[in-house]
Amino acid sequence: MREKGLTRRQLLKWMGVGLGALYGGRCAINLLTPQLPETLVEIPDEPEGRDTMFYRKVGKEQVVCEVCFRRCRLSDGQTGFCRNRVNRSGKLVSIVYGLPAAVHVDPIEKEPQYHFLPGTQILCMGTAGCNFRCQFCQNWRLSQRSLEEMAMVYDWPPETVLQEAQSRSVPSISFTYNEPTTFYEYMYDCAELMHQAGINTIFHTNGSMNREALETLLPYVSSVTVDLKGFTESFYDKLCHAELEPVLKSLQVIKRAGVWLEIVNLVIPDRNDDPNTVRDMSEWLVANLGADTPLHFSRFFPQYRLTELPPTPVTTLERCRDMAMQAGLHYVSIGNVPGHEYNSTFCPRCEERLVERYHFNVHRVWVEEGRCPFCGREIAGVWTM
Amino acid sequence: MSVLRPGDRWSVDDVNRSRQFVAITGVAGGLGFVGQMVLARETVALFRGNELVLGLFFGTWLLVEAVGALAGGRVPLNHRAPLVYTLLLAANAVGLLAGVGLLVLIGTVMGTVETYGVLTVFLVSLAAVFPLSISHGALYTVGCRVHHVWSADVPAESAAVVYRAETVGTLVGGLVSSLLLWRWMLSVTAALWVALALFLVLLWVQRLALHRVQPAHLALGMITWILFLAMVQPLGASLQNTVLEWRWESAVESFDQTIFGDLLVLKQNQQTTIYYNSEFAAVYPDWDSIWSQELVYLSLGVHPHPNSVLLLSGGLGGVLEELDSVSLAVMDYVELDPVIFSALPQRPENTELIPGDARRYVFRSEKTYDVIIMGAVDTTSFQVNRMFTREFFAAAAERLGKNGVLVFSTPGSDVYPGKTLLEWNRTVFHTAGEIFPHVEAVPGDRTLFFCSQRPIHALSDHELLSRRWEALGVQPPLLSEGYLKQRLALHRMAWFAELIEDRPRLGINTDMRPTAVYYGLMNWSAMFSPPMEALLHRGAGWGQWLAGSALLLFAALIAWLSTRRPQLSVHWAIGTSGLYGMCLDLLLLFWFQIVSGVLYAGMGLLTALFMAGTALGTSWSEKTMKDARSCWRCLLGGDAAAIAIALSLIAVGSSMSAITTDAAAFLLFGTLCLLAGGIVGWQYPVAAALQIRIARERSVSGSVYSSDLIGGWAGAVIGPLLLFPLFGFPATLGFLVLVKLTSTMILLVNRQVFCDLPGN
Repeated sequence: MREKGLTRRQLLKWMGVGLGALYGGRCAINLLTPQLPETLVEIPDEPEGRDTMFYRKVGKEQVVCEVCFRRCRLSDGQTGFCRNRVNRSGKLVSIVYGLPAAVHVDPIEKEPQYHFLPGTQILCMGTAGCNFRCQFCQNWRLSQRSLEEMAMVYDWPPETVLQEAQSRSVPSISFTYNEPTTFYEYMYDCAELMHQAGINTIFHTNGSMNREALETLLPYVSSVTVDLKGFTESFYDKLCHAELEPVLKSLQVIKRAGVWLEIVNLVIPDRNDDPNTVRDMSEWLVANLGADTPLHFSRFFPQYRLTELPPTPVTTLERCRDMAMQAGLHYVSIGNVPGHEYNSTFCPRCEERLVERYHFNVHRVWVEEGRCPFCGREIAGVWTM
Repeated sequence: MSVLRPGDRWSVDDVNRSRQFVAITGVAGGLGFVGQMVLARETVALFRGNELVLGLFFGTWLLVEAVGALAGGRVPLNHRAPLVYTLLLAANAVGLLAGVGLLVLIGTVMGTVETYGVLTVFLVSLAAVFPLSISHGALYTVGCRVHHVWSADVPAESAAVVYRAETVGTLVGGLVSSLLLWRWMLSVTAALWVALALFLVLLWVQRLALHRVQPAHLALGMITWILFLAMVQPLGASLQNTVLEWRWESAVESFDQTIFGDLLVLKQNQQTTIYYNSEFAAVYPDWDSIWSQELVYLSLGVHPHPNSVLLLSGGLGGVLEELDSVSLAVMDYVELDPVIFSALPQRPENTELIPGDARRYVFRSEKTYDVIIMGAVDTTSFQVNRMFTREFFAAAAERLGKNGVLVFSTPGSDVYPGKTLLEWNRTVFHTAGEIFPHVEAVPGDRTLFFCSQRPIHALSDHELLSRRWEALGVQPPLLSEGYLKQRLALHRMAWFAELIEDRPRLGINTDMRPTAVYYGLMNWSAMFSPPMEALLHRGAGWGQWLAGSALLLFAALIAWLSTRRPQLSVHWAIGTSGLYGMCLDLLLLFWFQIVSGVLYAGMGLLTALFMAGTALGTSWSEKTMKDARSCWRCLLGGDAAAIAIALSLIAVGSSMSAITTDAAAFLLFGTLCLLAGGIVGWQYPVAAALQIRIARERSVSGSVYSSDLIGGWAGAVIGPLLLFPLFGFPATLGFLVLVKLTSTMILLVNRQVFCDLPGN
């Protein structure tokens, strides 16, 4: 029977020929693959990166990253939880340095920043990676991916960021979209450069940065938006794989540094909308950050992995706002409900409308020299450049 | 009880008993099929109506059924076989109830799981189908043994008789599920009915096994039947409501199940939320106003004088309300599932509500419109993707007037779209570009596409937009000058246009090659199973090569091994027939859905016709089986027929998309399913007979059946997940031709072995 069939040698020969032909065909197709548009660059195979500022060596080649609460302990070649910081032979390197994947000009209200130069435009940037794993992340395509998974990146070292900001005539730049703690050194270098050039630096964070890193950065920063995603450890643990305590500490550090601070709380039905929790959160904010700290309650819409939940009822958001106001906060707004009355800012004393907003658009600002024109009360915030 | 052997003397009772048993296997097969359809529908609904899940479901079903068939083959050929059969019927009934219960339960706790990927779909399918399909698989092989014990037939004949009876039962089950299920009863109720019927069949088997009528059994059967008649309908509804109330904490306002999908309405904190197929669909009264105003007023603003507007699905959640508030001469809204209309908070005053398939409406209608707006967004399912193909865009272009504009959207991002979304948007953009010379894309969380035969100026001229809105008597409050400046920023549109201007890697999206489904699938994986996304990205480049080379290498290996073990060639022939049959059945099902817009109702009938074809093929081939050589010729004939059908379908190709009547669609696709099933059925008994001759075994039904099922499993998994979206239908058919060619070649290589077998 053997002489009728193929021999082992013949089989291997034909397999080899077949695979060779397939590989050749594939290479020919690769030559015809479309190239990236000129404004974007290919993802480098091994990005040069920049040495990070906060880490310590443990033993010969291990390092512990000290930029965020996680304190990832990394062996040679390992990447941190954030996907952005790599141990290269005992040096911790930020591989996304100067390689933002998203760059846009947005209204500052989109941050949200309602009391910092309302109605102005900001140059926004974000890279790949994040040190949280929020199930409801709006920018998950960016934050829950690594640099090599990006479709494109911009080659924008800090000097280019300055040039771009100046050419677009924006008064501020912002590090947003993903968690800037994970590209700390890029943000730091840019912020220092912007400070020298008289351009404001803003960043939108989950508040997980360690104290030393935060205190080093804040002198060059004009304003910060912090996502206070919930007010229980279990919420942070289950929905974000993170911790609440470091966030609360960061809020206090920012406040003490005198940098303008606004807080966002995304209200998710059945997850963090318990009235007692909202009351506790509001009271903590008043006690620790002061009544003038703006708080934004934002409406949740089904997103990313949390698509089964309904959108937040507007009545729930209104109830949250009432509770926060009762707790003593002066500036509580409702976001992601376009056209809602509390998109706008009101004077805490005379209750007159001070900034008329429709979604992200500022229609009119009545505040004059930081005061309510109707009753003269001082309105916390940064109102002029 | 003694075992009858060929040649033993038979009594009339024995003949009657074996005949009755054949009927029992048919009824059990039919009930099992209805149960399978119920589970399939619940699984699809659980995973948000994505019919690609069907492949994994059927694949899992076949895999477990194969295990059951193998296990059943180990039951000894003696008087215990009927008892085992009885126990399996009980397990079938309990298994169905457990499966449906589990799916409903998973649906209720999914809110806390909040993540699912391909692995989850597989595991959920496995858990849900396991109790029913394993007992269903074992029922066949044990049924063959019971029939052999109770008749004078040889094992191969028993296998063929039971197989035929089961498939005839399946045909009836398919008709029942297509005509009755979800039109008259909820899935839970249907499962209760099937379980009850299985218990009655169980009593029937017991009666046959004991050789006399047991009055107690009959009485018990009658009482149970009457009790269930009175209770089953309200019991099913009550169970369904209890589970929903538990999941949603008493917020459930209504739940409807139709042949198109499930509609759930919740009311909580003065907010009404609507879910369709477990997916969030709309919210009232505070809907996503930005989205609805953008879609409606930008669509109206890009036309110089919009008088007639057609809205194709997606009217819930503000879009219809906004459109209805504008004074238009003609405003038509087409929605597939009429239950959606019932979910509208109030009936629109100026809009004509048209129940029916939006695609077919566009193909059939004679009316022309100034603006056509499509509400559907996500092309992950074939059902939606058929509204984003070149064929559909061409039909829509015919329905547009002189300055007509087609407006639709796809998932997007105004921050960073990522590889998958970029390719997805690119695909849709270039597909529309094949028909419309002017296509403008506005990036955002949903990318808005505006397509026309003439240039669209208004998107870059905000004053023009405002003037047109003024002429219409509308002033959309959210679309202020500042907002438009941001949303329609020229630099942002240019940035996005630059990103999507390259040709898509997989080519444009057509009915026959639904590439956008592949990107939808990839996006789904990106959210829930990132490694799968990476794999699919690689698949987009390597998939065809890999599948083709893997097939050829594997076939070469089988060819080589079969020179030593010739029975492998039979297993390969029957395994590839299983793969061919399942792939073709699913392909025809999805193709039918593209043409008709119906899935659940078609699924039952077409699958049943496929099974009917199997039964016919089985009977026909039994008549032609004479010796080993004729069996071998039959196998080759089956392969030739399979290749001929696939080649004819490639030749007919996209012209089938032009079918616009239900009757023609059912007739054509029903016939094709019948033919495809006929090939599998034709080859099965001859393969079994050949195997007996080669292996010189008395009973081989289990091993041949398992090869058939394993082939079917492979077809079910790779068909919907890889071949259809990545290859497209014609290339998938080409792949199936290749598959059957390998089988033919291997059979030819072993020609001498079959010709030399004893009995020729």
